[in-house]
Amino acid sequence: MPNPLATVAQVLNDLRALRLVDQFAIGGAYAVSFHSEPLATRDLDVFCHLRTAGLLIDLSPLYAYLEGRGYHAEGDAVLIEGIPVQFLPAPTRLVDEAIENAVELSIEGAMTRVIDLEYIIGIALDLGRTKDKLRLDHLLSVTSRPIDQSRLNDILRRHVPEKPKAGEDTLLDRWRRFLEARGD
Amino acid sequence: MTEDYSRARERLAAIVAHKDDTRRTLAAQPPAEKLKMALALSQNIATLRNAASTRPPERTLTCFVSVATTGPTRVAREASHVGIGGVPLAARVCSGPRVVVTSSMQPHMKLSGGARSLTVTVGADPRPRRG
Repeated sequence: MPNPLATVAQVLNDLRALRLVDQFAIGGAYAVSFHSEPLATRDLDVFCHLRTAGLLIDLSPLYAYLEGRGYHAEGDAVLIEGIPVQFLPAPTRLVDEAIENAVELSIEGAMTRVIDLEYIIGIALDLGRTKDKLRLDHLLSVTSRPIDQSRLNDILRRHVPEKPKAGEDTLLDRWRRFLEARGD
Repeated sequence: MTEDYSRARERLAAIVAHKDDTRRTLAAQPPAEKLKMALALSQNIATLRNAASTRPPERTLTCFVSVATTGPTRVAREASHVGIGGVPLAARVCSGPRVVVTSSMQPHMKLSGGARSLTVTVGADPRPRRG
């Protein structure tokens, strides 16, 4: 039985070949699993660069194509080989950059792209929900390669939190506070 | 008493060390394998959740939200409260005044939008219920 993730990877490549998405990278818990230990999640987040027409980003062409291949929408995702896949337009400059600098991965011959470790940390820090803090904790505890501190600092220094708190000029300020609160 | 406490601490340290070893071993697996494990883990949990949930009754409703008057954050909040069968319409705010409705292609939903407004109409879901 083929690995459903390999099929998802192939479908994502097809979407790109058809220019239904420009560039993409897997983020969220699957990206954390890629860099750390496996985590459970509800869906597979695919961050994409999409073309926009005015105010709305309409995913209808993408959904229609997937529907044609037998992949139906369910809630805010599309079920591809039973995996809920959520297509998320890059919400910030940080995610835009993370998509550009994603790492490549082969899943049983199907190439795909995953957001890299230092960007995952930056995005989780920016979002700052409880689950993001848990993910940060995971990544600080165990990773498949050491965190590149200088790259991380460079990313965090260049990006401003989407919802900055007092005393936060950049994500680096938030990172320092996070480490301090964690006792590091 | 002190000795018992000391033994307990040693045991705890051994358990934590073992857990950390397991985590390191897992993290060192090939990436594709780890994604497969994450998938298996997620699907097991989803199965348990589905088994425990009941499906709410269908509803028919229409929602109109205006980006011009309420701003994109408000639009996303409003739209995310509109749902059918307990499944919310997913609207997300991106940077700037942009709103994404990801469920627009579901057969019972219609999306229309101009330069400054977004209308989401949600009718009864014609699809057969699953299991």
